Amino acid sequence: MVLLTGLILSLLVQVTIATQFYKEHLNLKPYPRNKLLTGFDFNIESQPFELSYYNVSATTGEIAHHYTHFPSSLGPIIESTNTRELHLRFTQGWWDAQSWGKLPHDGLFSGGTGVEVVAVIEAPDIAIAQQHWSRLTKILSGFFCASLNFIDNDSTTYPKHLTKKIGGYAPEQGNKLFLLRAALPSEPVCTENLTPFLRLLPTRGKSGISTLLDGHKVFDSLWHGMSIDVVTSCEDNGLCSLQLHQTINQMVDIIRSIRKQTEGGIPKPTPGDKLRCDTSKTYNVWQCFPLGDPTEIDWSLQTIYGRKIIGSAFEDGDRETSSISVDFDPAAWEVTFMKDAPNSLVHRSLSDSKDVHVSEFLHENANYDLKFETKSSTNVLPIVAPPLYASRSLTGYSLDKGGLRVSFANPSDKPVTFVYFESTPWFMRLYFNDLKLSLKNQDGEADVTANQEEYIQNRYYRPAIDRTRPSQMELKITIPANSSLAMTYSFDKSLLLYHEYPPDANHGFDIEPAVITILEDDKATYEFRTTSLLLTLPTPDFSMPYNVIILTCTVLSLAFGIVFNLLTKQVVTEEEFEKVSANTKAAKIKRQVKYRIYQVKQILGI
Amino acid sequence: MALAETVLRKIHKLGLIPKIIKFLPLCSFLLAVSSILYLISLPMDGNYRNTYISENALMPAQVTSYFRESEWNIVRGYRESITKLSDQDVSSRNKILESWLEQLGLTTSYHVNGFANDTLYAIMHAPRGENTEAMALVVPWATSEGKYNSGAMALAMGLARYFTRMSIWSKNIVFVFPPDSRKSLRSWVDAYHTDLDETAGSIEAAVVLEYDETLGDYFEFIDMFYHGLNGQFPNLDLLNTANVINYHENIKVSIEGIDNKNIDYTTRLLTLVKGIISSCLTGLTQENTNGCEEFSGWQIQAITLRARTKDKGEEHRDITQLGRVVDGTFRSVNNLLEKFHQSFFFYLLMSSKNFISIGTYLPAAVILAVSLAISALSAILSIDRNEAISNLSFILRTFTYVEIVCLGLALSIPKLVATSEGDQVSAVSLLVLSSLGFLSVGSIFFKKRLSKTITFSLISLSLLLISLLITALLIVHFSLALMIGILVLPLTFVPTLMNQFTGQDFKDKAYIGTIICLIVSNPFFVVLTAGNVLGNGSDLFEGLVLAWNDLQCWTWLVVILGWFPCWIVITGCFMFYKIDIDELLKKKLQ
Repeated sequence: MVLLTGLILSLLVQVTIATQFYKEHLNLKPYPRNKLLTGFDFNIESQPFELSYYNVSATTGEIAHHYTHFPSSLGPIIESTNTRELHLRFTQGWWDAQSWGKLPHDGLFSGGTGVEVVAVIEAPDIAIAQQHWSRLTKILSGFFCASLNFIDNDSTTYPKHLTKKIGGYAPEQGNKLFLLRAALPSEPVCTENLTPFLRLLPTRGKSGISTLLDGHKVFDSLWHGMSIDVVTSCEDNGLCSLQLHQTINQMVDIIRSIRKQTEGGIPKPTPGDKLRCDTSKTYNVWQCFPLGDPTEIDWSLQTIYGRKIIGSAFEDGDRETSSISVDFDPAAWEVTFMKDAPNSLVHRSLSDSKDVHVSEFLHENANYDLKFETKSSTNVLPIVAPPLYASRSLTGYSLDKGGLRVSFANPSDKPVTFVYFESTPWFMRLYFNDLKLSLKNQDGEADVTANQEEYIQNRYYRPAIDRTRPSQMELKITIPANSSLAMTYSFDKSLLLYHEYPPDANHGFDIEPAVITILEDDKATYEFRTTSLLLTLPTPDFSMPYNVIILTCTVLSLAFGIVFNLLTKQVVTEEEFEKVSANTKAAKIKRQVKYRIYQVKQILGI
Repeated sequence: MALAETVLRKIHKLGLIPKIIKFLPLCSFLLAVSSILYLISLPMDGNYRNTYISENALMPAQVTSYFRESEWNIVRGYRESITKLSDQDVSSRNKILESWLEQLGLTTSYHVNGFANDTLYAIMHAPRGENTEAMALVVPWATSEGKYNSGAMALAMGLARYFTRMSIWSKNIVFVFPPDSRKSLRSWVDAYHTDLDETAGSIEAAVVLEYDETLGDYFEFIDMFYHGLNGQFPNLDLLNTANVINYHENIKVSIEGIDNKNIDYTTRLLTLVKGIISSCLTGLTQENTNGCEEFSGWQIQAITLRARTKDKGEEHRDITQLGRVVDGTFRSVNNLLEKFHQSFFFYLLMSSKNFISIGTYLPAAVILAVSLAISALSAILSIDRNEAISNLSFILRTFTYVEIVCLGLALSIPKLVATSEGDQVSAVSLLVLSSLGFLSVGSIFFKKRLSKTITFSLISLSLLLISLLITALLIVHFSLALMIGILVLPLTFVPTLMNQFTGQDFKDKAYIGTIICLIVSNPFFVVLTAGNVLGNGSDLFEGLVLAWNDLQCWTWLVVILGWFPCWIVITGCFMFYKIDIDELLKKKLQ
């Protein structure tokens, strides 16, 4: 967190020097297999103002501050909930660490699947912090069209290893800072989340690089992540400013974008004459052994986003407000910067400088585009391997218990230390007594459960309480060089109450991704998440209660009938009964009727 | 209540109970017959139902599959290269396949199973997906008939390439290439849920594909297999989805080897009977192991599609059509927001379009269980109950000893068979088991004889136990319950026949009849006979014994711990039973 805050602050320092309050940047980096990583960065800073603790019950006046470029819709929310830091992550997709390497910004701005909120809240005690947190998430829910309002105490965690590092703001006398975190792994990230994201920008997505952000294009990527970070920083004179950093990162499949542009969205079969076949194998009008993706490609921003960048952010702004940069191999790629102003058309090659990192400022009222051409798209800048790979999966099959298996692989030549943060909902009852560790390296696989202290150096565990809070586990783990460690432990599944099942109970329950923070000299250097998991709980047939009610009622009424009979009727012998039954009124009438019929028969002579 | 009281009093007055007791054996037999008649009546119009898609989200055959035109060239291209690999061993074939899959951008990995070649599998992560759910396409290198599965392999490669072009996936797709579709696949499925590093979330549905090298470009119809282990079936919705898509592709589907061209009473009945038999035999014999059952027990719905042809030239369905069926099925499953839960998990198919649900077919096995219980009742009613109760501890002790011996056999025989080479040992152990039942040798030297009371209470308890076994089984594994019920029917005649003994020698017809009944209902005699009828002698026995360890199919345990002890006890009773001469004389005098 300190690193994150530091990074944002350092970014903002640049901003302050350059254009005071707003800066935007787009970075493009081709990846192997015709992929492209695009990163949008927006930095906004509010005017310094006097920040004081907002007491919900005592304050009568409204919060009225002038924030300049900082969104005036967000400012009062932050202030009225006493949020000093807010980190929101919207992510969808699977980051293929094997082929794509490290996450952008060292993973500090990428969340796990779904939505994640982390906030630092100033409050006198935890109960009030929870109240603020609850208000904050409910307001943000409406603001970002996400189900953040479902965040409750039973999904909120208080990450321990992060709290030590809250920085950048000193609370008022008597107050403390609380760090709260929650994740919604099953939240689908969609256009409705992008629109409020764009509304936070002073340009509203109408000019500058944000014009590229079209929902159809942003979400048609292999992986995409949006982040919104608000940090409060205060000067010595007591004035504070809110600093907003927004990013969108996405991994685009260039071939698909090209195909969508040329052939439309439907994946129709390639026409026979356009097939790319391996000519060293049998190849004729009937047969074709396909080659991999083409490596000789050309494309532009227009291909990927369907439009060009419209102007700079502000017509009269600083010339360094909007910028664009490209990371590429100039020997293989020909990148052309194209400026299409009303009265001029400029094409300039960016490959001439032979730099791997080239940036350009957009400061004119023109349409900008970048054109990429290459003969071999496989030649890209080398991928930086992440310090650790991790995969997590559920084991077992039964509906009453299951297991979790996490495997960490350290590909490097030196040991890696990291914090493994995992929070599971209360209906997963974890057992650590059967936690097993197995280490795999070049010598083979070995069970190292007995000396686990060697690998798990520090552990913090806060058990779950039914319906009240989730379990929270933070382990400091070290993996030796070139080896992989598999950790397994089991859990029981609890039965939920009837009304606790969601409408789509048969979908299963999403378990939020675990967060892995790599430490180097006790400083976080890289952060990433495992995938989320889908847990199947015993799900009742929801019409069953009615069957049960009907059956129970039947059985009860039968039982009642028997008992009632026993209680109210007199017990007699069979002979007594027959004697009595012969003298009842009904029997007499019956006898009379029989006698009359007999008489009639006699008369009729039958 | 009052009505019941009146009726009971009347019955009592008329002295019906002794009369009914006298006819109990007949009642039992009639019930057994009516159970079979009931089953036969199920395929009649009005008794079965037409299949339908229960889960609205599936929407089968609502999309146009573009796995056509030039995709055919690609499938041919792959197939030629795969055919060239046929003389290489599986591990080097896997290497080449892996390089192709990696070129498509798929994550590949191996499962080392320790007894056969490694299983290669590749994961296609859904773009933007949650990565929590997956579908599996399984293509074994060898079909279940042992042929080279080159057509399906080429299809899988073509489909993998085709699937990566689409961005609609919400579930990951796992391509699995085991060396065979039996033990290695089972071991992969186990490992996927226990210790594989590369996983893709919970698998919702799996399709096993077989298209052997002899078929060429065209096939005629699809053989669809769906039986799982231990009486488990895939959700009916998955079968229906595949069937609807097949229908739209104009592909004929055959279930239990009977095609759906002309459906009438006979074909429905045949499909039903064959279905019941193959459900019992799933996992036990080579013919009834088709790949889909390996997913049983992990909450994965799985079917096997095998392209077949009868006489070439009649009807042409090209290989990409099978690809379109897979594509369509996957896209339907991909639509699912929840797990398969809407439709039936317990059903019997009568054709690809007709089925009967559990509520309709269950009475057949229930009646059988009642029939056995009644014959148990009749046995216990023919003796002095007070004496039986005083001997209760001996009776229960006998049962416990027999069960312990059977438990020993249940554990030791699979070990013996697994460690032996060739068929000899399994045949020998089969004989040992069958003769073990015939305690004849022992009975000659064993002086003590059992009284009528003990004999009949033991028999009664055995029959009751079988009846309970059937009752316990009938919901989870209806076919096995029904099959055991029918096969042990001769045991119900034993007490009646033993009551009619005039002398214990081969001049007595009842004595001979009892021996025949006992032989016919011996589980191992049945297994051996069925094995010979199915064609492979002791293979069925070997499959039965090994299936527990290999595939966790518990039919072996049901047989050795449920059926066999009861049979042993009844046979023992027969051997040690001594007729009471006085009673016999009294009977004759009367």
